[in-house]
Amino acid sequence: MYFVCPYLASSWFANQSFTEWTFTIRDGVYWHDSSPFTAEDAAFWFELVFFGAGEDGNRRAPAYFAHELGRIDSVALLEFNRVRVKFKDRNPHFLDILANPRFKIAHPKHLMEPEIERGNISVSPMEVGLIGVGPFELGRYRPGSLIRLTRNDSHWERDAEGLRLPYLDGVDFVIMRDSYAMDIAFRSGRLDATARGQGHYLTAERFEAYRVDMGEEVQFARIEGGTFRLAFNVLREGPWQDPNVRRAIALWIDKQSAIPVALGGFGWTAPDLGPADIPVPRHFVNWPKFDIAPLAERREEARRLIENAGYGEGFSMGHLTRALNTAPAEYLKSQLLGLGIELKLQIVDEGEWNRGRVSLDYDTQQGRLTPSPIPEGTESAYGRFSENPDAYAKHEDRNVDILYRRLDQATTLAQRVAIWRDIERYLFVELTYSIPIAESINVVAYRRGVRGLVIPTEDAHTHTDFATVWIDG
Amino acid sequence: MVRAALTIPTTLVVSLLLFLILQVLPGNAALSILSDTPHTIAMREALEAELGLDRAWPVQYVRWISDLLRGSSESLITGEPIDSIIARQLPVTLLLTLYATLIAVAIAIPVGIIPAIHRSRMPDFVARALTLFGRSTPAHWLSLLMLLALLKVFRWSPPIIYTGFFEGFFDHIALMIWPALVLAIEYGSYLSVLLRASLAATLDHRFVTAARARGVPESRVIYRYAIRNSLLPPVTGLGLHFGTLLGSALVVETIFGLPGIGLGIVDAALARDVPVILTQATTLALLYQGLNIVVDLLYLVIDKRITPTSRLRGEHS
Repeated sequence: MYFVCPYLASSWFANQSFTEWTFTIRDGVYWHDSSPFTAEDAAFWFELVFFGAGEDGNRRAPAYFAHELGRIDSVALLEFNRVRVKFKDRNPHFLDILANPRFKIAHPKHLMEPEIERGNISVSPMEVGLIGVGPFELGRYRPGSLIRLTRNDSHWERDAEGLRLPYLDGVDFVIMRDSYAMDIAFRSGRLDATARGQGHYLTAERFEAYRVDMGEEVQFARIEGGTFRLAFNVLREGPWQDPNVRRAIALWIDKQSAIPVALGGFGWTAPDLGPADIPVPRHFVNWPKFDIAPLAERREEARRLIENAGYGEGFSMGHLTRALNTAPAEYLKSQLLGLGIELKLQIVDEGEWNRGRVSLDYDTQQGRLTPSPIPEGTESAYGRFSENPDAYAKHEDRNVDILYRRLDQATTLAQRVAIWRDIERYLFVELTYSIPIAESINVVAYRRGVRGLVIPTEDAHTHTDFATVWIDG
Repeated sequence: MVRAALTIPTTLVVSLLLFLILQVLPGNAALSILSDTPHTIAMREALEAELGLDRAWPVQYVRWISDLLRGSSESLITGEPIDSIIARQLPVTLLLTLYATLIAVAIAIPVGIIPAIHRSRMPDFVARALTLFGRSTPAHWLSLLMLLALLKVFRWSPPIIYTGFFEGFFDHIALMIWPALVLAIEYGSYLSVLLRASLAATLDHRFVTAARARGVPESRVIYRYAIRNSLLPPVTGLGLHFGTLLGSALVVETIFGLPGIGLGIVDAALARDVPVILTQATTLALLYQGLNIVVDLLYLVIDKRITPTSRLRGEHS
């Protein structure tokens, strides 16, 4: 769950039924072009998100995440720099979802509204100069090489001693495609931190090289990296349409062995075995406890299930994977061979991955994206295909809808946890649409002198706050 | 003149073939834009229509050409004018290949001439071993090896932010020299092999024996008579191998973080940004053909017997 704290809104309250949320916008906040950030800007952003803009024929669609925030009724600008958002249904988790760092406010009304009125209905933040309200502003962008952020001198945040943040004069994000070239640049002192993203996170082998070569000069951040899973397209004909076959595969896979082979050496399969500082909200992580019998017993049961299903002789099954993720695919291929299943790998580039994964043109796929850390935000990952084309598993099971609607109606933490466990059991055990194999941990290196770094544990992949960072020495 | 005129239909054929290949590839720019966004099929179709990807391929191809000629062609992903993308990326790649060519020629001259003069002796064996290594070593591996060696020996690595020639000469050279060297090792090895073989053959000619019999000093025989008559094959190789050099440039640009056209093509291809890929590829095709025309003109300088039309007739080819 995201840790919600005052930022652009200095305070807020909801009505008793959680259908209305009222925010008071902080005074003294400025856009990067020195214009004040006001409740009008907040209302403009909510309007764009929930309703889009324009009219038929020239219409800007609501934001892709609008449905995650709830069913909107209206947005109203109030006096005293306040804005009120009214929903059609009760929405007790609005703040938790709104705190998701994927949702960024970079939409200055005074710049974007005139563009929209001129007919440039799809105007993007990039087109108006990428003006935001954060501690750093865009200083220079050299495509393919560098994104340079410079200090926002009018930023409102102050530290405990009253000093204005940020401390740093700027941050250079150097665009480096090759992870080994990045390693060398870091070890030679040209970088203060390594990059995030598949292929750049440290593997155990590279981690060891850093440790041996740099000793005390380097520190490491361990970040929750999402669930490595195998997911089925049950809308495509094949033996995997039988839930018993899917269950047999789930029982067969030796999940612990995935960590060194498929996850670069960093991960865990059960909280009891994992590192002490796993930042996943434990209330909502239950799946590791589903299949805890010894591997031999699980495999015996797997063989029995697959033979009863009539596939004792084995079968072949396609598997869509990104070229960036071939190690996990090879791992799955070697695992399933023991059950008589030949996994035919379809290794594709990013262009085909973007197409294939939202289509029905494959049998299975794997990946380890992080869905929302609260259950209410996971429907896009586990819901029905027709409503969620990018869901891991492809199904049209309306029971999943029913379970998520029950979750929407929950009013206490105990209810939410209980319903989420029902959802997990249904998705991962009873129907086995998706097989969670292991939780990955992403490792990023920082030079020892990098201090004051705040890495949000929930979603460090997309967001880190550099406002409080300083460099020692 | 005829060769110059032929570049236009050749380039059109290249662009059309590439366009057809891109049509066969799965995925499109709309899906790339939506890749980080949970989206519905209706959203995707609306975006495809907005980008013109729902139209028949001949319409899309003609639209690319007409946009290009009018100077209004834009990236489907970023909306940036393509001419500004090319103007930004091309100088990086041109400078890289220029430096690589200069270094390659500097390598090829001694490594080609010395073994030809000392055939089947130690300098010849050493040069052949070096050129074999140079020609058979993948640019990717050599780049990483070079970076690792710099780190291990000097605790240093090249700058990681590209600086233009006029922005900061020393930073520019400190970064560009290493990828240029990687490219030059392969390119120079190839040229030196051609030069060695050509010079060795020339040294066996009767006019060389006659010159020696007349008492012409050996250095004059080699540098005045033999080398000049041995230049056609390596100069031809200079032009023909330029395509390979561009291909290798694509790899080293990725490793050294150079924002050139090679890296640009990789990015555009992964994002299925068809107008950008087509424009980048046709630019490289034009560059390749242009260099080969320059090479043809060099023939006229090197060998006075060659006339502007003799290659078209198949002579001296």
